[in-house]
Amino acid sequence: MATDHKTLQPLEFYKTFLDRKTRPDGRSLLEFRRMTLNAGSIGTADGSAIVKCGNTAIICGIKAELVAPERDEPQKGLIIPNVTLPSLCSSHIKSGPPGETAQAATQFIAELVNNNIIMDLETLCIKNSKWSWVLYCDLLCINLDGSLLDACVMALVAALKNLSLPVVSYDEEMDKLISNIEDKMGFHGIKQPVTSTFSLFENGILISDPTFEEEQLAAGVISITMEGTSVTHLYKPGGCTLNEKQVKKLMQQSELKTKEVVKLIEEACSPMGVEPID
Amino acid sequence: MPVDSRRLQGPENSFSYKLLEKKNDNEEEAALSADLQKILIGTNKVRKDKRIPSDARPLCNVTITGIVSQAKGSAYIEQGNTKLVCGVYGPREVQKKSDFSLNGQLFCEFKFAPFSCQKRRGHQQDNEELVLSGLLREALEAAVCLHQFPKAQVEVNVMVIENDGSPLAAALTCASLALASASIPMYDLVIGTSVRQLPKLLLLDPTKDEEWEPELNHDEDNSNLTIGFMPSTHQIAAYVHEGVSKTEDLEQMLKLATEYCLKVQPVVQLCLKEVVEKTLSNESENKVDE
Amino acid sequence: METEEKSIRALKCEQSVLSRADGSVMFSQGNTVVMASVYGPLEAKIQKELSDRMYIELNYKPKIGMPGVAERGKEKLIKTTCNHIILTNLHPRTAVCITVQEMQDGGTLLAASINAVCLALLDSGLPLQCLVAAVTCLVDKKDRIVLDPCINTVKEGYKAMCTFAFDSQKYNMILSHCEGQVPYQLFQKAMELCQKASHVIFDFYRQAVLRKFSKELL
Repeated sequence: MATDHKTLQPLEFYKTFLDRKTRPDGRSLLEFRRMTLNAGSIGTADGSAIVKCGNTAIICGIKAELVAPERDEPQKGLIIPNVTLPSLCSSHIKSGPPGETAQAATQFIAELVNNNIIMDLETLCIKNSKWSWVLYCDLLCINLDGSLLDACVMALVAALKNLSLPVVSYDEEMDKLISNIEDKMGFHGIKQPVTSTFSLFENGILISDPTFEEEQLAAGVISITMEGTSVTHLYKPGGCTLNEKQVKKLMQQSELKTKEVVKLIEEACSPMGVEPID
Repeated sequence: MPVDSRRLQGPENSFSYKLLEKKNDNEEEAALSADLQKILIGTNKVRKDKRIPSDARPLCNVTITGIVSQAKGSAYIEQGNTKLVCGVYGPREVQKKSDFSLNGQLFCEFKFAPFSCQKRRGHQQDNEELVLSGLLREALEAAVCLHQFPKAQVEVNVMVIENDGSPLAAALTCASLALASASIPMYDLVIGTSVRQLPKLLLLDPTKDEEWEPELNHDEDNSNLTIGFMPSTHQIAAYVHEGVSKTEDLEQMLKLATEYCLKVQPVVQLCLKEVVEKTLSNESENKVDE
Repeated sequence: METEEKSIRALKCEQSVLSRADGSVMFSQGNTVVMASVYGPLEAKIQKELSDRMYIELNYKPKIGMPGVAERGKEKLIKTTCNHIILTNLHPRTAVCITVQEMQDGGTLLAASINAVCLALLDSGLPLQCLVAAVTCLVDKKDRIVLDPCINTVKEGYKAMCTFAFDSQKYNMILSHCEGQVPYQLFQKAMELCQKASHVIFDFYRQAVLRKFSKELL
């Protein structure tokens, strides 16, 4: 009976839950799903992290390369993020080149990167206008179940924190790069932005950390990225309207989540941290 | 090369920092071709990762359900450091009308994650991945009861997260587990394994360093064999041999590989049994609820 | 200085510039010029057909080169905004094709594109739930808010750039796209300022429609 109702009238089915201030998976309206994070488990990547937010799973792997920086920005390194949604991750994704969702997510991450919200790109410089690092950050979705951006940002930050590269220096007299494989280094000053996604319904109901199903049914989504208490990115692509009071409420919620995620990342990426045993 | 406008492209002339250490590499390569055997296994007949030649890496962290909750069936396995995920969708409608067939069809996609190998991989499927997709499809077609879902197709997506040798072998095992968990009718599981032949020595389940490489090992008695074996029916579904070896050696390699597959069979079956028990108990719980 | 800090740049538009399109507009906001066209309702491709509403296809064409990932990001923003303002459930199983052509970049392209699309939709006569007006503002390095910045101001560097779109009914926020770090108070101030400025754009829409119909009556 319940499943029939769900397939025939998915929105009505869902609204009966919302009216009782609960959700089909048992969460309350503003409750987040359980998050787990594991950093550094991929040996072939220079930095890596696996994030699970509920069912949504993202793997971020970073490959570092060297390049002469671009002329107009000689003191900057590059971060090239790409979000990939392979046909593996959901039945709604066809195999082939990335679709709109993947490209919009890539653009979102690129905006964070280009505004120095994740890290100051100048720290990636080895020698002004000669050499700098370029970090290819690939965000691979293994399981797509809503709130993609939240998991992507979390995975990227954790993978950057986990990054371990040989110390490369520039020898001016010889005009070449020298690397020392034994010495490993990471980058300092990686900031900790945290994205929180919310779904909106027509009658002003807000839910946090929506699943894929909830995203499909909802009338709009909003993704708030915060670092500490300041807003670093606010992304609300259309959908139903929001008033200031609601925005304020969502800000408070995302502040709460920010604290929790920062703690999680610090635990997983601290050098003293013990890796969880499965 | 056409520009891929759907992804962010990096600068064209970037190179891996590993190239800075090239000098040492060259020396190593020279040494490798001179006496490969000594490099790969020490004098005490132990491999770099402390295995004896006829030992395989243990299958671990085998997770069958829930790794891809959106898929009909999925599996994740680790064989040493080789890690891969497989998701199975379907049976569903064949999208292209020209691909119509009365029998069921399999669609296999084999992909290495960009960060899964020593060298950074491209986003688009390259030739190696296409070949591996084809091999995977041909092997699984032998095991799946295609006549049970006419006019429909089953999609098998394999993603290698980390490649440390024998990716096809691991993919075969992983894909057949995922197919089984998706309740796709099959004659038997396909268990994959590979053997590396060196002069007078066979290494089971080679790592990336131990694998046969076309550029380096072109002399005789140097080869790699990957098989997909169906243990219950004692049949071979996939057979991929690269390199040069004598026919009598092939027999030995095959024997080593099949013995291993028979050894692994109960382990894999146990994993599946656990899944079935779990889903059955869940179902009965749900019935009580209703 | 091209702009005063508290007002938006001069708005100009010409409707029905394309003879074959159902609705079209050439829209300029200061130096930013955008052209938008609307075709529809059309027959939807089978894969794209939605059983309960209209499918919106949106193409954003940059001035030079092929559309890339950045354009795809803009497309998604504009498309979901259209999804809200068009009464899509009145035309199930059909499609509408909206094209935005960038003509001249004088800063605030996203806001100008949204305004242009709204005018083009008005011109086409598709039933809309409400109108939408988008305004961009920028927080400069000295924490001052600059409304509707021109390209030179953008190039000087900024702390944050925010684009908001509001509906014409209650002036609630439909779209927001903010990049860059700002404390919440400043963000709120920016939003209020944009909200006020959006009234100017709604007045402009009214004028544009009045002008169009007075011409047609003559």
